[in-house]
Amino acid sequence: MAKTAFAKTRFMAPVGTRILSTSQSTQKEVTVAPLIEQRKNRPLSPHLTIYQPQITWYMSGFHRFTGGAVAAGFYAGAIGYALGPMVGLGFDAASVTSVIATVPVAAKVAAKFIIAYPFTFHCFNGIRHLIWDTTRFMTIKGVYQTGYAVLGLSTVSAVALALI
Amino acid sequence: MALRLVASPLAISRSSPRIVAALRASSSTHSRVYFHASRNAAAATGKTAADVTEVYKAVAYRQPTPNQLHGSYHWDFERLLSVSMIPLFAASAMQGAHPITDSLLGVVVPIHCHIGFDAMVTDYLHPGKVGVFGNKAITWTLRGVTVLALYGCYQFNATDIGLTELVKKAWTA
Repeated sequence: MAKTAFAKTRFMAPVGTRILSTSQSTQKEVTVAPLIEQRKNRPLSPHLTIYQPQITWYMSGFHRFTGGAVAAGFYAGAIGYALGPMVGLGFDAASVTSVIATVPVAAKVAAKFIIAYPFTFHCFNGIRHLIWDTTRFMTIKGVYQTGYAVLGLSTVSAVALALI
Repeated sequence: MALRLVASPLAISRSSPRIVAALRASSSTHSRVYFHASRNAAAATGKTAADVTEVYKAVAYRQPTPNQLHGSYHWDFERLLSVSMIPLFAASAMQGAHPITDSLLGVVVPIHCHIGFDAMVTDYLHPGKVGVFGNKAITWTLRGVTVLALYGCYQFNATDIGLTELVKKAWTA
């Protein structure tokens, strides 16, 4: 059909399609919404799963994780004590202590270590952060030195606390 | 290169003149602000993401207005609180139960936890992810939960044996 000179000057399109659109705004509205929805479903490149495990970011993540865990436990205790009586699950220091006393010794030591270690790690790593805030040990070597010190101190103190 | 003062709520820090010139050179009415463009360079053009009428809709997150209460003062307060916990815990461990130590613990620890949770909300539950209303709802829920925790600590210190005694007794039970 495009062989004649006349036909070649005409744009080739299937019958029935609109080449020039007169209503610009509706076309734009129609195209924007599904694009926004698609952007929300875009895939993410791997990040945490492919980065080389290093003491730097492992300890940083663990600092946040232990902080969240200890804080969640503290909040649960405090809010439970405040709202317990309302739902009939009221407790006080005496009832909690008596329940703990019934637990076997081995389980108690293990549980105490599991509770103490996040707390001691977060404490010592928090001090490490405060030392960084004074601009000390802000080198690769310093980060690793303080990192190993925190790991050692937190483990030793957690074991000591578990054996009290 | 004259830098005009833009009365915009966005934080304007003077970025590279080359980026600014390049953005201004592109068409002014249909300039696109892409996701990965430098925020400061985009802000220097005088347009916000909300001005984009092309394919990409306005980005959900708006750069917040500079405010020292949320900036350096917040940082100072956070570190001051953290530093104060060191002698507080030391005193609690060495001296045992004391009304002042327990009261301070019952205030400082919940606030420290709140600041930590707030940082996690800012990082993981931001408006771009959960929506502006979702972020506000979560923020206010966190504040309510912290107030409850503060109240619980106060009640425990006032009517029960106190935080230090609790840890001592429960730990050696």
